[in-house]
Amino acid sequence: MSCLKISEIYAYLEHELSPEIQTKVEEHLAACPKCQRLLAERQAYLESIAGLPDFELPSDFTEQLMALLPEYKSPARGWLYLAGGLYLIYSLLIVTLAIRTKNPLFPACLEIFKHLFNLAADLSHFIFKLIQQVHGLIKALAIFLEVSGKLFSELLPSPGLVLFSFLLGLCLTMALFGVLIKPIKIKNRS
Amino acid sequence: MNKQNLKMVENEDKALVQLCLKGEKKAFEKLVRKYQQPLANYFGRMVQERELSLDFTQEVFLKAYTALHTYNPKYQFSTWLFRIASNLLIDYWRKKKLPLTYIDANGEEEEQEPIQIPDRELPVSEQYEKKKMTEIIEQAIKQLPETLRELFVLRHINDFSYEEIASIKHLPVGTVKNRVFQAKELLRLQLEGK
Repeated sequence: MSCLKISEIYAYLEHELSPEIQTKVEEHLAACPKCQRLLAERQAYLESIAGLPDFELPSDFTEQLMALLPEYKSPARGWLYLAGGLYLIYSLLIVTLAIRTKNPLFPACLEIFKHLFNLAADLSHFIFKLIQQVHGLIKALAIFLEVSGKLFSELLPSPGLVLFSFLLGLCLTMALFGVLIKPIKIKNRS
Repeated sequence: MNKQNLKMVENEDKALVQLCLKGEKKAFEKLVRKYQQPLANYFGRMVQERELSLDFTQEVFLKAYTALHTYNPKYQFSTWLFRIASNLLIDYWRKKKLPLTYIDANGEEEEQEPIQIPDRELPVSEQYEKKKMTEIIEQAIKQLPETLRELFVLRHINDFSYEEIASIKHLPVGTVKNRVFQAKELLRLQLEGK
């Protein structure tokens, strides 16, 4: 093997050579004082670079940075408000229908309204209160389905309207669930 | 760092990113503590002013935080973070209208034989005391052309592999190797001239 190129010496020092070439280089180095000297020079040079000190950071750098981070913000927040609003209107519709029919199910309808209202009011904090909201939503849905079934069979004049209301409720529920389980994105406020 | 350790670090970073995306700020703080020093070392050598280096380091984390949902776990978090840093630096240089030496990423350059530089009698590292030496090296690094300096810093200050640098800079590995070699020998010559 002829004398090493400088690039080969660096590659050897940085363990970038294949095992086969590495062996050949080592064999050559063992027999060539000139390449040994070149190697020692480059090794010392690289060591002096590796020994450069770290850039000095202020001791409170991390704390300052963390204080600057924006709050998590869901890009779906607008949709959540819309879904919550629609739910509210829908629950009001159901309550109105129940009042008009003067049915004993009225307290149950009010219960739905309460849960849905709380759900809509809490949407802005939904990340922190997700579990409570889901619980409230499930509870409201359980009552809602029960009431809808009864309305469908007994109270409302038009079965078509009831069916439409039921399907609308179902769609809204699915949409709200879809938005809630969507991955969170972060937006910078600044 | 061996491959197994590297994999562990990668997995740890990806797990922290997932926690961040679930809203855990503490996880992001861990990433900050892990990468603030490497980023500061990078900017410290790339820009001349200390305050600016700190501002850039901070800005990289802010940008990363707001764009975390775009991070693809297929890639290393560290290379993604340094890509943000590199882009920030390029924007800064453009705004300052510094004459940039762009690296041609075509394959021809990979085939070129690296420059051969004659060896000198005495090793540089033995000519100065350590402190003096540090100052001299730091000054010499700052005199390298920006693009060569960046690749050199990524390789020899931040300890990225050539493949990782190629991923950060979107360059062929051969080009990166060639340029880092040029930077090293240029720097060595500058040091020997002092």
